[in-house]
Amino acid sequence: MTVEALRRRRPETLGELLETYGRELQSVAYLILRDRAEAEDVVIETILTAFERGGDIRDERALRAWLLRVATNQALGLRRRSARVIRLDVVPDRPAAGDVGTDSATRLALLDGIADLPLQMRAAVVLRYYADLGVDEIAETLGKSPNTIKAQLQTALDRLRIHLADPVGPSLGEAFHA
Amino acid sequence: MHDTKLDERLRSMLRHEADGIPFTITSDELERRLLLRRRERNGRRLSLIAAGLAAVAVGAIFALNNGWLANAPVVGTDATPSPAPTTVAPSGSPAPSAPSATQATPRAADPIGTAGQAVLVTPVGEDSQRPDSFEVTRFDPVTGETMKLATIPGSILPKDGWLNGDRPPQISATGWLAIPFTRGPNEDETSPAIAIVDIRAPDADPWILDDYGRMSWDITDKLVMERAGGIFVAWPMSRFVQSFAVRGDLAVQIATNGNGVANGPAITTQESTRFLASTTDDPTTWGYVGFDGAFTATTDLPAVYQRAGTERPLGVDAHGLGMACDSGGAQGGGCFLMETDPRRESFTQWLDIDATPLHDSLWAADGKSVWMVLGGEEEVATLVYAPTTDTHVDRARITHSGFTPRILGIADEPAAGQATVIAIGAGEGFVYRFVLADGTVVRKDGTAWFAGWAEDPPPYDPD
Repeated sequence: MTVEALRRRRPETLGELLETYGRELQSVAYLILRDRAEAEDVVIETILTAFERGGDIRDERALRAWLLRVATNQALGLRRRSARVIRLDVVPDRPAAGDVGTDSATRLALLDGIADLPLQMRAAVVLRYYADLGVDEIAETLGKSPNTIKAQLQTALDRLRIHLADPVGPSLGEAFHA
Repeated sequence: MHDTKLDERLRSMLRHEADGIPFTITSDELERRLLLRRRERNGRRLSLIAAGLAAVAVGAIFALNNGWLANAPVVGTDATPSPAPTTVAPSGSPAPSAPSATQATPRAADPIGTAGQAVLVTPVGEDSQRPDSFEVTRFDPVTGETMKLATIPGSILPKDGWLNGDRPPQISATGWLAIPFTRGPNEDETSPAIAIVDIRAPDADPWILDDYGRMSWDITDKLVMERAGGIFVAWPMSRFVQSFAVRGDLAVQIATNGNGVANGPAITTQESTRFLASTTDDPTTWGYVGFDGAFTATTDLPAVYQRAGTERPLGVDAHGLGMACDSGGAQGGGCFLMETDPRRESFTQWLDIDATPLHDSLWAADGKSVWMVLGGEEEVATLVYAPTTDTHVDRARITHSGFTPRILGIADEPAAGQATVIAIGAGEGFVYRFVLADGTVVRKDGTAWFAGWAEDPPPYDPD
């Protein structure tokens, strides 16, 4: 239904796209960017781009993949442009030593670990473990080979494992002096 | 070995993290951004076109001086409009055509002209209540040029409908024309209605909306209308109407733009805001209603979208401006143009109307100074800019016969007291004069309604 409406560029298509894909796009963008306002911008730009240029998409599955690709690249582009800014406000809280082993501590440790991943690696993790894309789809989205994506995902998991094992890492102040 | 436990933890954590973020983006916000996107692109395109046209215009002026363009319309004091213009499509847009049933061609979303050009609608025919047609033209007061945009058949009015002349048509930024009319079996049993037509496809069937009164176009080409105290939003492209509900426990009403020609709901342009609004109690509390229908009280009101340039219901800090009469007491009795604060605790007198007749007044773009149309001489009015209560700067003398001059529109105010073009006409919206920045008055014959500017004036955002 949405693909057909997109082809015809009917005005209610915007609402349909938003309702069907908006939440997921926001989540993917937010998990990559860790900034809600930027994530919302990504969603809006992605849906508008789909409305203006998505008339050739053949089916719903292709549409979802296309939207995720556009949103991911929007997010990566946004973060590259603001790479010089040290975003103290989005550094997640680190668990205290005594909290290791609780669910929330695990979650925070994983969040911490994801935040420390390089941007593209983080995007690969989000697309794999949140959006449930296959390796080939992630490769197409990020413009890499499937083998590169497999390697990135493996490296990401290794690093996250280390974070889980030792979640109380260096403080931000120590990291600056390192 | 694959660590499925870590995979599960990762999935769970990501889902938990993402689900915690509220999803508040609305379709209206998308449409607003889409229009802004297109206007930015068109702005760049228009800049290129304007550069090209400037080169052509230089040549045209040279040709005029040499007598080659003897029929070019004259601009200046008491200039008369040119006779029936030739048919030309709106600049920058494809030739209008009705959408086919099998393939919906995207409708052009570019503006129908440039800043300072007025869209006029002339009812044509002997019967003023049921005209044979409506001629939609674009008039440039600076050059005096008139360009026909569309001829709309009079048959858009249903058989039981007629114009009663008290409400003018309003055009949206991209060419949807809303024509208010009255319908009913006889003059004693009537109801208001609106006919919406697309000037880019003038022969297509109109969309008739019954029982709707005051109306305003919003920035995304949707028509916001009042009906029986409620607010409704109409999508012309899909012919869909939706009610807009104000939520919450407070009794809140959506504000209207004022008593002028543009008198529909006051639509705001600031992100996440939708309408100016106020509580219904006394003294009233001003604020705005968001897309979610919730009311937020504030005297730092969001900017108001303008099509005519007169959508200025309040001044800075939500101050009101209007006529007040005092039978005696401290003011000594009489009628005045008065500014009041929202709680009506302070009053500022702008004009003693008994001493100087006032035809019309309007907040200037800064929400602190005032435009006035003053009387005094017989059939001569003065357009005045008042930066303070005791200073009047004359901007133009306007002769008027058979109409009370009112401010129908202001195209732009690039500086305090400076307006690029002001449309002056009768209260019903028929335009008689255009006042240019240098005070030149361009005459029109009052047979056409002023339906709005071809390009949006800037939003009204008092400091």
